[in-house]
Order: sequence, then C-alpha cells, then structure tokens
Amino acid sequence: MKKDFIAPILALAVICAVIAGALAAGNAVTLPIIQSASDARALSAMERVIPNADAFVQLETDNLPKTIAEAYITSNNTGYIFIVSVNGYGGEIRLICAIGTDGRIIKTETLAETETKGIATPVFEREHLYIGMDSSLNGIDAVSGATITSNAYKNGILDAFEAYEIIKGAQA
Amino acid sequence: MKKLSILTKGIFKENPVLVFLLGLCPTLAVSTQASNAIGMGAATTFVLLGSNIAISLCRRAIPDKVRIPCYIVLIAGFVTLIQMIVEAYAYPLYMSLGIFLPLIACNCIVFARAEVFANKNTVIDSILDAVGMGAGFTLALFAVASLREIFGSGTWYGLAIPGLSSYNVPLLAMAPGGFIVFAVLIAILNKVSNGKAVKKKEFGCAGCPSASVCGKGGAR
Repeated sequence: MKKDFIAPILALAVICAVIAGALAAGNAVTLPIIQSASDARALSAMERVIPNADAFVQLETDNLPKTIAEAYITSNNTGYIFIVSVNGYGGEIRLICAIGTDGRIIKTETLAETETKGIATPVFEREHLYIGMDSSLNGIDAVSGATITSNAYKNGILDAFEAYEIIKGAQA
Repeated sequence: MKKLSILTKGIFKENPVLVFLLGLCPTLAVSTQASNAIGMGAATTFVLLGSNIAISLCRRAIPDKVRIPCYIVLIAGFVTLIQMIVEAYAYPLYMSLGIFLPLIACNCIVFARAEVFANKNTVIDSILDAVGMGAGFTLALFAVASLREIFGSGTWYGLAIPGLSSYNVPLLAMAPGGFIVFAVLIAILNKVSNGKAVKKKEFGCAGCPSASVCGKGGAR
C-alpha cells in the first residue's frame, strides 16, 4: 500500500528535477546570446532614429512618466531617445521616439506590437507624420476603426514629450 | 519492413493533421507563410523526438497513476528548451511564430504519440515514429501554408511570384482561408485514398489508448 504512494511521487519528483536541471543548463547557454542580440537590436534601433550620434548615455527614469521604459541622451547632445511602452488594443506597443534639443521629433519607430493586422496597421505606417512635430502633435488624427491603437500611440509620444520636459527642466 | 512502415505511416496513412485532425491550432494559425510552416514543423518534430525518446526510455519507471503529469513535465521541458534555442539562434522565426512556439507544449500530436506509441514501444521504434509523425505534420503544414501564401499573398517563401501578386486572394491569408485550404486538402486526401486512410476500427472504443484504464471497452 505504502509503495503505491511513494513510487509515483518519487518518479514525478525525479523527472521534475532532471527537467529543471536541463532547462537551467539550456538557459545558461542561450541567455547571454539572447541578451546580446536584444541589446544589439536596441542599439541599432537607436542608431536608426538618430544616425549621427556617437554614443548613447542611459538616464534615470524614476521621476518620468510610468510608460517610459528607458531614456537616453546622445553624448554629443543632438537629442533624447525614449523607449515607450503603452497598452494598445491587443497588448503592449513598444515604440522608440527621438526628440531633438529643439523640442521637435526627429523620428519615431515601432519596436513591437500585437495590434489587429490590417485594421490597426495604418497607425504604424504613418510614423513619418511625426517627424518634425512639436508636443502639440497638430494634424495627427486617429485612424478610423483603430481609435484605441491610435490614441495609445499618440499618448506614448506625448509621454515621451513629458519626459523630455522633465529632463530638460532638471538640466537647466 | 515493419520499421519502415512505422516511419512512413505518419506521412500519409496516419498523417496527424490531415487524417487524425490533431494539432489544428498551429496548423491553421501559423500557416500563412511557407517559411513559418517549416520552422513550426521543425520545432514540433524536435519536441516529438525528445518526448518520444524520453518517454519510451522511462516507460517502465513511470508509474501508470502519474504518467500524464510526467509526460506533461517532459514535453513542457522540451518545448521550453526549443523556445530558448529558437530565440537565441533564429530570432525572426521566434517573432513570427509568437505564442504558438510555447503552445507546442499542449499540441495534441506530441501528447497523442506519447500516450499511444512511445509508452509501449522501444526507443528505436519511438524515434522512427517521431520522425515520421514530425515529417507528416511538417508536410501538411507546408502544403497548407504554400497554398495560402501563393494564392493569398502572391509570394512563396517570401519571394514574389510574377503575375500572381496583383491577383491574390487576401481571404486565403486570413483566418477563414486557413479553414478553407485545410478542408480542401482533407477532401483531396480522402478522394485519393477512397476514404480508407484510416481503418474505422481504429476509432472504436477498443482502439482507444485509454481502453485498459477505462475498462468500458466491451460495454457496448
């Protein structure tokens, strides 16, 4: 009777332990590769939005709006880069927004999104509209049928401007 | 000869997707591009191979009472492993498969082979079975995806097909197209095999893998 209880528990425990060990080993091998690849992708995105910067210095984000995941300043003072994470219709929208020292957008780009294909796609295809905009974002309307995605995107950019003002204020 | 039939039955006669209709969630969801289909098929074959080997090795050590949790832990372990490997070495594939990569853990093809085949056969037979079933899954997925990509987007393997790209049928690239193409393929397979791809008795109560546990095999 006792054996009936012990054997299954033991077998399951051993299997769990072995699998956990194998996963730990797999993780140890792949994690550095995944990490360095994701750092390289982040860097290349930053270089795409501000091509003539020589280096990016990360800033503290404690007192910035909650949606700002990361903030950077270029070392030759051409502008600021904000990585913004907002909630869209289908989950997180992660975008990168570069704002120049004159308070105008240099370029924005979407890093990751899971919005409805087709309906929300125009929101991400008109990013060029944001180039040169100031914090009023005049002339950018919501895409019809994709209001939630449009507003999420726009609010993300506005948060980037808010962060920009805070950082500017701290520096002055 | 018997070994050869274990290998080949998964490809046509017992094709997991087109005959047993298992694993439809990834089949319909990622079959929009031929390259996705190959990636998904390869990942699933890896998991199948790993779980079949592990389960047939441990088939005497795993008590019947806890076999399902044991299989789940083993399968989920292999899925997590392949997920880490794909993210590290094939990031574009990782992005395009999205949630369906971790979802291999609940792919019923993997589970069915564990329960029906690997837990009563030798390691060599289980490896052949996994390779055959994996190939069958990949081929079916590739067929559905190729048709959807060629006629839905006018491309194949990401390459534009001249002439077709301006006459594509967007419906096929969307969710309903998956069902339509899938149904057409099943119909063709049934026509070709005269509906005899699977013998009827294998669907009966006695053929059920749980017949010995359930004990109601001869009730009706």
